[in-house]
Amino acid sequence: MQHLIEVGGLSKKFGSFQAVKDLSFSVSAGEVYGFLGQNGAGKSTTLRMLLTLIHPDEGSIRLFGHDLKTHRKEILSRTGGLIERPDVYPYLSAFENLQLFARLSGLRLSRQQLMDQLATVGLAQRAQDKAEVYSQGMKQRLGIAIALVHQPELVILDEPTNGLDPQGIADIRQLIRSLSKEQGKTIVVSSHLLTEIEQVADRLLIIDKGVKKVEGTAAELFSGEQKLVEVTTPGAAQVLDQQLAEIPFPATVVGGDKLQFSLTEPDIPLLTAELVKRKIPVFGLVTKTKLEDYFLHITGRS
Amino acid sequence: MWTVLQIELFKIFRRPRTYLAFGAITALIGIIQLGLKVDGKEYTDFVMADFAGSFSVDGNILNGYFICYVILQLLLVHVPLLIALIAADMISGEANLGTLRLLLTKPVSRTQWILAKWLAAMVYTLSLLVWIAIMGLFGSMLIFGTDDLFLMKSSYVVIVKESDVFWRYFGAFLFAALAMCTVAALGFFLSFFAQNSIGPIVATMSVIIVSTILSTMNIPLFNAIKPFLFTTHMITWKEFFDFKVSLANEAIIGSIERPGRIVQSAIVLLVHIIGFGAATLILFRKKDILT
Repeated sequence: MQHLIEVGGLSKKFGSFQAVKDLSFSVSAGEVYGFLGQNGAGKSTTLRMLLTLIHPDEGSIRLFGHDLKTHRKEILSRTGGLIERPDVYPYLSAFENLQLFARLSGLRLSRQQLMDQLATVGLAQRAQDKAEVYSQGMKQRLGIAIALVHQPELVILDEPTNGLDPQGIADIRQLIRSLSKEQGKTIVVSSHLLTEIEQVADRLLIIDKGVKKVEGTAAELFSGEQKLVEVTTPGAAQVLDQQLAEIPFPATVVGGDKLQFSLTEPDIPLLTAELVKRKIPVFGLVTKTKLEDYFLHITGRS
Repeated sequence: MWTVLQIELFKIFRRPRTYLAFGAITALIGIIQLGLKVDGKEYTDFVMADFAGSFSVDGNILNGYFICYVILQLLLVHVPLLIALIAADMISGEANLGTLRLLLTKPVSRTQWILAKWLAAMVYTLSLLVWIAIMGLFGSMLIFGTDDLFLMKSSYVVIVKESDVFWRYFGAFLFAALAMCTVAALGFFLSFFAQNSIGPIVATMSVIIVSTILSTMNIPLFNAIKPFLFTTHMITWKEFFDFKVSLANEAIIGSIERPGRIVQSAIVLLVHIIGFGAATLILFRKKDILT
């Protein structure tokens, strides 16, 4: 499948702070690509670099097969973006905001076309109200309408569910699915709400402190090679140092009496055998596949 | 480019703040006109008292041309604040609203965007000047009528024939527009550095106040930099009302006493306008949008 986004060796520093370091990834056409990371992990910086809001220090970005530096205008005419908050002009109505951004995208849409676009995000009834009276959810929907007004092939959404109520979150999730499955758009979406990403993304990239930790489909990440096995044993740190130092399974201590292993499925009985062999008292052994736990483990925050 | 400029102008003229400036000018000019209409006779009598022994003036001193001169002298000190309200908000305001992110993800080059914004700030400034001209010159001509323009300079008196006045006002307003565009360019430049408009507005006014003080103070230390300060040249519009005198000591109609000074000042102001604009453009092209 042809790669619509190809990022190689991307780095960005703000002063002495390394926001993104040697990041490489690619996204295929039609894919929903999830960007996971905690606040300050480098998600927004990366997505801003994809939208030319931030200039990379190093690395290359190719979108639609073209270099972003040399084909910025052409690429942005095929890309829609919504970065963090959906800020619009408060003294203009939703209709005027949408019309303004449509014209910036080089489009002269008719009144009916603009109203149709507002209707798709449920704002047709409030089209003439000034944006300053809109709720956060309505602003978010208007922001999405603006990002999509020129029918882009690639949509980049940074934390699109921020500040939304459960219904708003569900609406965004539904919209992402619809854009992908029904309209065939390629979507890059970031969030720290991991369950949201898990539900919509075809592939995920976990980023932490600006560095790519892992990338793959949800199935690849949570089955087969990477199961989280949590073993409850008293004095976990001591046990790890003294009795398990030589076993071939890397482990981390969690909460004083728990050891967490990242294992492939066939390794689980081998680990159990090692624990028995070393007469380690096991009060519990749980295999986890939850994204949150995996994410915390991957980023070393478990 | 034209589309982006249209959009920028649309945004400027949809904001209540824009009309605040036009309202303030209308009110100020209205107050001056009202005051001089009601008590103008006493004012001119008071001013002319010094000349009572030397000469008398026939005709209507308190005419529309004279009122406009008074208005220009008073207003051009305060108009920079009204210009800074918009110009210093052009980039910082977008950063404050957060719309900068959305704007720059659209297929418009940063150069185009900055040029359009810069031009829009200039159009706003010029429209403000046009409004001052309409209210101050044409409004005053309508209310007070027309006659020769009688001006008292620091050490001499100037009487400009009625037939010779109008083009001088045209030149003076044109020059004032250049001076105010310099203020707009300064505000625009300073707006690059801030995330809200208060800072650049205050900074613009501070630069103008400090520069004006340096321009007017007669201290040898600062004399060397005076010719390079834009504030030194902002009042050159008054040169349009000084004319050459013939050997018979008569005013030469259509002449300007020191045209070279007007040209020199215009060049200094233009260099400032282009300099501030170019600096903003260069900086903005490299700017990372973090808001």
